[in-house]
Amino acid sequence: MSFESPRESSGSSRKRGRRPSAGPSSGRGANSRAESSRATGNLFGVSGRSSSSLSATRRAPFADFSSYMETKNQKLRGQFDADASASSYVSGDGDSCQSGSGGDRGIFCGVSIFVDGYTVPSHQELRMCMLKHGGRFENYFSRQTVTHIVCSQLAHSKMKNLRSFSRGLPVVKPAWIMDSVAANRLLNCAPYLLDQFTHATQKQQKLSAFFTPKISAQSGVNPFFEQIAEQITSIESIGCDSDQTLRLRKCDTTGREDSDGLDGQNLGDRSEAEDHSIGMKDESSIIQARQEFLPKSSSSREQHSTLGDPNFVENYFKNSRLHFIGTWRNRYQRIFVKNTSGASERKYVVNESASSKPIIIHVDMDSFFVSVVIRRFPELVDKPVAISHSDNSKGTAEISSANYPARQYGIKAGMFVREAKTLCPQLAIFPYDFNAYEEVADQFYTILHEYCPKIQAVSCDEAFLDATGVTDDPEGLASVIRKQIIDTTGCTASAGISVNMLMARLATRVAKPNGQFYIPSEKVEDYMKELPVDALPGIGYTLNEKLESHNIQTCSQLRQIPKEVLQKELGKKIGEMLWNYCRGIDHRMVREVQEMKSVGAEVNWGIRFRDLNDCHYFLKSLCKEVSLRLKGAGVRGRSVTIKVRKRKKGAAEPTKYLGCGECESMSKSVKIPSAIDDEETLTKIGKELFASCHVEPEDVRGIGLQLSKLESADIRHGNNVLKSWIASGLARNSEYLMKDGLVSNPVLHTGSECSPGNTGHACSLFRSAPSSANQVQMTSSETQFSSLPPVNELDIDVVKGLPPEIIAEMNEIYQGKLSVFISKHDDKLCQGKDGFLAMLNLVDKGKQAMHSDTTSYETSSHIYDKEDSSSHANVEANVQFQHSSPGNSMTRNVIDSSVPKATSSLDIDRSDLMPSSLSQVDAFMLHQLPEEVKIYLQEAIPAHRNMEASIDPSCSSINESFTTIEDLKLHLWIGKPPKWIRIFSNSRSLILRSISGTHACNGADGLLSSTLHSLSLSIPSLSSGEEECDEEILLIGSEFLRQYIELKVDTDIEELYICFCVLKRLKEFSVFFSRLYDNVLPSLQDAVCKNYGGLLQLSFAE
Amino acid sequence: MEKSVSPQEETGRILVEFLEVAVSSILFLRGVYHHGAFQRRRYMNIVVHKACHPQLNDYIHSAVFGLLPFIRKGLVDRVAVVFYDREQVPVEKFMFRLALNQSQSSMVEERDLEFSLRAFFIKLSVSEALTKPLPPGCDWEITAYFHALPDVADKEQRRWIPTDTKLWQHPPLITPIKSMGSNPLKLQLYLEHPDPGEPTHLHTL
Repeated sequence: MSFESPRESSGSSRKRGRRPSAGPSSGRGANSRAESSRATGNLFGVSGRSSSSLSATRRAPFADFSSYMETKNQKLRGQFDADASASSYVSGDGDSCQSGSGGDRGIFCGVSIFVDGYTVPSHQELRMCMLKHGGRFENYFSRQTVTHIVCSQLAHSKMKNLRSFSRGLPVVKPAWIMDSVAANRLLNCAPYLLDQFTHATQKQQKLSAFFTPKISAQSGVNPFFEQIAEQITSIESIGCDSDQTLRLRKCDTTGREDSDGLDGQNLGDRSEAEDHSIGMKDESSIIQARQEFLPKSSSSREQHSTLGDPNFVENYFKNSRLHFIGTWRNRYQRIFVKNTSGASERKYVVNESASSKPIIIHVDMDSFFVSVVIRRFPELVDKPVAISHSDNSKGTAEISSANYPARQYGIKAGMFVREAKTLCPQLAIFPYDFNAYEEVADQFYTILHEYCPKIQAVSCDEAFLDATGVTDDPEGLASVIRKQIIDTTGCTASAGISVNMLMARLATRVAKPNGQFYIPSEKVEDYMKELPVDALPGIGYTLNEKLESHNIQTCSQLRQIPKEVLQKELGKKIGEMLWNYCRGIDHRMVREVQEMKSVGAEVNWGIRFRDLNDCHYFLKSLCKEVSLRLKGAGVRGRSVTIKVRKRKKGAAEPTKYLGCGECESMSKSVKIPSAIDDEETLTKIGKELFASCHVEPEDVRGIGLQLSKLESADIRHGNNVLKSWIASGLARNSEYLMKDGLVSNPVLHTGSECSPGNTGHACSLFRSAPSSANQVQMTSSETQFSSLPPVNELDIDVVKGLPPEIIAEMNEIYQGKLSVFISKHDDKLCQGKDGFLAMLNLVDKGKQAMHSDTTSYETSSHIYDKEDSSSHANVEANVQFQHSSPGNSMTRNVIDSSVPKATSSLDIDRSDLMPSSLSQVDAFMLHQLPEEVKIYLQEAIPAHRNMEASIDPSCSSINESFTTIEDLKLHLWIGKPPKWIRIFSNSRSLILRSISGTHACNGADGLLSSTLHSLSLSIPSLSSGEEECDEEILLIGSEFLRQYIELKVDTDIEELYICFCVLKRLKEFSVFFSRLYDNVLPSLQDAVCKNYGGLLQLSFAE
Repeated sequence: MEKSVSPQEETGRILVEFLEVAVSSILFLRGVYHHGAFQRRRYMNIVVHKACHPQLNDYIHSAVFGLLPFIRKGLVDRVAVVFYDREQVPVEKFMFRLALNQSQSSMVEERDLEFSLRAFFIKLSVSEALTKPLPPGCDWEITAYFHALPDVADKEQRRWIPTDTKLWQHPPLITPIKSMGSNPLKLQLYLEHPDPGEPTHLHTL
């Protein structure tokens, strides 16, 4: 019975709770449930005291348990108060603590603790502390009365669910109370928070914990103070004098209490420290101490900023040197390049008499990042100084720049601070001062622009001057410039003077630090002879390794190797570069404006994500940054690349604090049809790209986002054209869907929407030649953007990587457009060359016409009207190429016949029409071309002289194959890849080309069935044009299939079966396949019958 | 077991084992016996069905393993599971066409072969749609087609007897189920159905 009763009481406590309870035992059981189980421990802990209250219960039964508890708690508080008043009078230090907090209340005034579980100073001791110092001690947990929960350790389940356990109250270690008593004031409980401790011991801090404000009931609580405290102790361990630490401690405390006023206070503090530092012996340690505080305080300010959520990316780039250098260029171009004409008075005179001998001066500031910072500390000029984010001597921050005295100790950029400190303990380390850098860089360039008109900015502290024709005394000019730089900026610069950029740069190497060196053209030879190879710019570690493996150490050794060998070994470009460089030849010109190739941002430090949400939040801010940069540079990009660094499997936490450690990097990119710079689109694409990397958020250690294929954001109507390209894709799809209409009515007029200012661009292309049926048609058809991304914006690679079921599902959603899209993509890959050649041909003609006359004119001419007598079908392409722009409209009708059946004479014409190099191509025009055409153009043009050679054989091989069809027998499937692929891809038949293309795309298994299957997805698009069904092609196709049957019949009728099932399906779409099927079926059945004694059952499905 | 086994023997063993399971699976698929007469087993890491009745099992086992010496010699062209109607006219044949590479010298990796063979079971389990419903009261047997009649010397081998199954008058219709063409073993499984114009068809009515 006794065993039964507690179970019963707890089991039916709800019912019983309403009734007055009879005995204490059942009362306790129900009570502990009502008050939540965590109070049970205390019931026993304070049993000595509660016995009286229990006896009270016995005497006077309560209405219910809440009233019982109320009475009980009241009584306990009464006892506590009585004890407190007694102890505070009795205790010796009672008065001191009262005076300490400025009232007659104790330091724990307003603090009410609840002790959970076992603690190292026991409950009783903690209670005594609270008694003595004006706090309260609660026996039972209640959200209303308790302010702090004290415990030494927590059960795992409570730990996991800390919030529901603590109800948002701070959970602190008992040491907080003891330390507060010792310090005789209420310390901030933040460093004593239990969860803080566990975080710290578990792992490195998370990104979110580092940069987002802690949501905590306590104000001003953040992990930063912990760090400060930590750093203070580290300074102590270095052996600073105690006075300094004390002072630091003080400002630390004040900073804690009043973080808003930190900035001003910090400044005052700084000047104070400066004053002291002059008189003190241990200067560097003072600076150290200050450095300790400076960057941290600023970050703490950011944490408390009210600018919305302080975001990591912003802070990161605010503190990034590379970012500074990167964005500096934009600034430079804005300020200097645009204003060169209106710049201040120039001190150079274009000296007509000066010889036109090339003179290039390379000016480079000496250890720029350091010298700018130490301008204000002249006493440090010949002391070792380095620049780094943090000056924790145990830290893993990297040295980003070191001055010459420091370099003598072997300190290099990229070294960890702790290594540097072991090499040179007295090394002074300063943080970046980006404002000062900007200021000095501006001054630097102002000076350069005064003396020289032609300047190529390499970096914020480095530039090439083209002084050709400016002066006859380059050395004099250089020294004047250098002197002025020192006078204005207080920093030294070195200069190298020579005949080209390479030699000037090499000369600077000799000149450094703070000097100048002139290599006249006659001495170039001698200088280069002795030069070690790795001194040449562009030779990195790997290249040097390679050269060394060939026993090449100096330039003179390198010279003995012929150019061809170099190019063969190291690649065309690098080989040529090396060959030139070791001879002191450099054809690069000093260019004032350097084209930007890509814009992006990358973060590889401090990346720790808990889940995908963190990730997406980060991506969003990264995209914002990139978007801002794009807008700042005034460009938009059409190719987005994401670079993800993923923690290498099994790699531990990196030694560098929050660094990326051992990583695998991967990158994915996507081309988008229209150039973008807005954050939203970028974020969308970024997320998609990230998802396609399949990286666990926990493993991400770095993310970079980059846009390339930049185009200027100014050209509004360029953008418009691109939009029309997007539209054209959709139109194309719908076109294929209503293919019958197209076949019956081959003349289709399309035109692009003109922008309001008549700056539009209309281009209409149409043709009936099936060979170009897949060419892009520009159209003005309204693009209906639904909530789904348009088919064209889907990443084809991603789509193709999806499982077939999902593709099918998506295809349904897109109403069949997706499969068309995929197949079209495949087609493009394979037949791009041929098709686009035709297209290109026409476009080029239009272009030529454009170039030939700039005024408004309208002309129409027939270029070719050619009938190939040998051809069975005369393919006619009627192309109308129209280009209209303000004040310049041009229409050109080109009637081009038999493009695919190009005879050699046509080839010559075509190549003659091609511009001889890319420079002759209108860049604007090039921009408007679709990507594939562009790539093709770029490939084709430089090599155009070889084009005849490359085209002719294929043409002749087709002709050959037509005439000697008998030769094809038994050969088509031989070889790897089989012979037919080449024949088909050179064929004039679109279908055959598609077959070979799809086959090539399908890759490894080489089964015709899978090829045909993919083809069946795209067949509606193939049959859109006029059906070509001439006997020759049919013959080839049949022969091709027959040989396949022969090949497979013995071993794999399954394959043949599938092939013919698919072919049967294709019959419905295409006359060609229909005839092909009918042609070959008898051969198949014959073969099967011969081998298996039966016929394939192909009508099964019906 | 250390005794060296020739690759042909090894491949033959695997093949025969496979055939045994495949025949059981076909029986299960065609529903000649009640489904309750089969139990689920695991073979090559996929679920297959094996007959519970010991005699049936024994028939399949002995029939197929009886083929082993012939298979090793490369005499067997096809192995068929033939379903007959009441008149002992075949209505459906599951044909295994096999070709063992006799000059195979290197040892077969059983796992590689398994991988390919497993595909047969997978395909088989979904090929019910290719078949036609069997007439009631049907019968079945295992038949082997030999390239040449073997000279039967061994007692063991005598369990296989020459047969003269009724043949269809017209060439049958073939529906391939699965083919594999690895180096040591080429195996194809296909269905044979009588031509619709087959006169015997009427008898089943």
